[in-house]
Amino acid sequence: MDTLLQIKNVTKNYVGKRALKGVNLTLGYGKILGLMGPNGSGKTTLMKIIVGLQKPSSGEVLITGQAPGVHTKSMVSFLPDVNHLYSWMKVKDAMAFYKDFFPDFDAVKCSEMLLFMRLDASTNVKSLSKGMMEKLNLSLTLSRKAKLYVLDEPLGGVDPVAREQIIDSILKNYREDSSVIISTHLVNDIERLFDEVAFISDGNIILYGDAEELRQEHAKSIDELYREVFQNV
Amino acid sequence: MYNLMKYEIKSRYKSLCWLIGIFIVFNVFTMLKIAMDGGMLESLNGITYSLKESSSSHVNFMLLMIAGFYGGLVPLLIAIWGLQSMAKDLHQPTGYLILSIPQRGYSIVGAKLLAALVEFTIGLLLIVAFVILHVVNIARLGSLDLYVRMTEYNEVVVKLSIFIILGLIYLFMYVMVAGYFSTVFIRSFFAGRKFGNLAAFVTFVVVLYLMSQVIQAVELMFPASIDISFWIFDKIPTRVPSTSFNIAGTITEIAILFGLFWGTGWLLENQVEV
Repeated sequence: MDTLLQIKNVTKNYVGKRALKGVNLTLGYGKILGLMGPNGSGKTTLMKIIVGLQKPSSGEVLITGQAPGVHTKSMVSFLPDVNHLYSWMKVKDAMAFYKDFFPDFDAVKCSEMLLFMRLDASTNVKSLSKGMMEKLNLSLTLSRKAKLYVLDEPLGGVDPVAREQIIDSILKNYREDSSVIISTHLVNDIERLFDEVAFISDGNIILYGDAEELRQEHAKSIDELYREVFQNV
Repeated sequence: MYNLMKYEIKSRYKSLCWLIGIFIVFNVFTMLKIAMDGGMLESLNGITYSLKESSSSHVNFMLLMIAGFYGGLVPLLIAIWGLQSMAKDLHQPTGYLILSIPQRGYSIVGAKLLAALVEFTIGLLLIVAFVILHVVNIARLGSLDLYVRMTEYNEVVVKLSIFIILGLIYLFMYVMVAGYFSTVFIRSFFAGRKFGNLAAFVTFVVVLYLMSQVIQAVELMFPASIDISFWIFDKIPTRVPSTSFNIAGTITEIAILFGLFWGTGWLLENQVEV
């Protein structure tokens, strides 16, 4: 299997806190990895390190063999768990921004996704509800032809109908030459997407494997397994 | 870099239009009022002039004072907006967007600096233009003789204006680069926001102080300078103010400026975490 992402013994220390404690992870192409864990377990920190927004205190992250930096930013598409667009922007400005800075951005695909999400290009970003904002950010993120998509809590704070739309969009976007990492604690809604899952707790990966194999091995759904593992955390 | 600059300008062009629009309207109004009141000056003996003893002259004088105060506010606000743009990106979620685009750190800093420079230059040109227009307006209405005498120095006014504009643009760039460096430096090593803002300001003051000390020391060691007053004031026979540059000091200043600029870009790319 060709390796798209390799994380070797990564630690991350903040003042008075160790957010990641030697994380190891390998991801090939054409996979959807579910990164699951309770709040404060280190999911977002790990994702930010992959994207290049934070630096590991020790260890190594390689994306197609390269450390996160300017080059890898052109092949990693990131959806943060908060709105990261400027408040002065309209939806069409956000699209233009992505088109200007990401050569792999497909404006036609984005327009189609916005139509599917029922988002008007002339709407002001700051006037969007949380759900609509999530849909816009996801449309922008998935409209890139990136090698790696890193989606931090794409279902957080959105209603069940919007969740279905978001999950459909992720599925439609699936390509064999790319992979997706999705962090969530809403496991039940999204577990059918996952090829691989990693449970993270207190900065450690405590369970990692093929989703189907884990289901068979434990005779449980990923959601049930998640509840069992994190019951006492 | 130019694409980023475009978005930087787009992000605050409305505020800038308001700021400059009010400045233009207020100054035009003041000029028209002075013109309708028949000027502000009266000749005492054909050579010296004083403010007319009328209530409208005093009102006009106050209007000019307000225009001057507002004119000073324009570059100040442009500088604050420019510095805030960097601080916001480092402390707010927009940092996820700006720092996840495949651009080098110096491109991001350069775009912010150029955008602020463009805005500052527009503001400055307007201020200088209105200062000249006010002087001409007041002189023309005061006495034709005074106006004719002033026009003899047109060339000096143009050269002096160019000198002042270039000098202020350089000063603005100097302040902005030091400001960007301080903000990014503190964000790289101190993440706490409240403490960070204060620390960034202290760093800004320290950086400016250290720069001035280094330049002063270099100037003392290499005192050779160039005086360009002959170029500006060549039409004035009397004693003119000195407009000289210390060569070594100026070279050092530019080198420090470049160093801070590249340092800021490097920190942004390699040290800042959002």
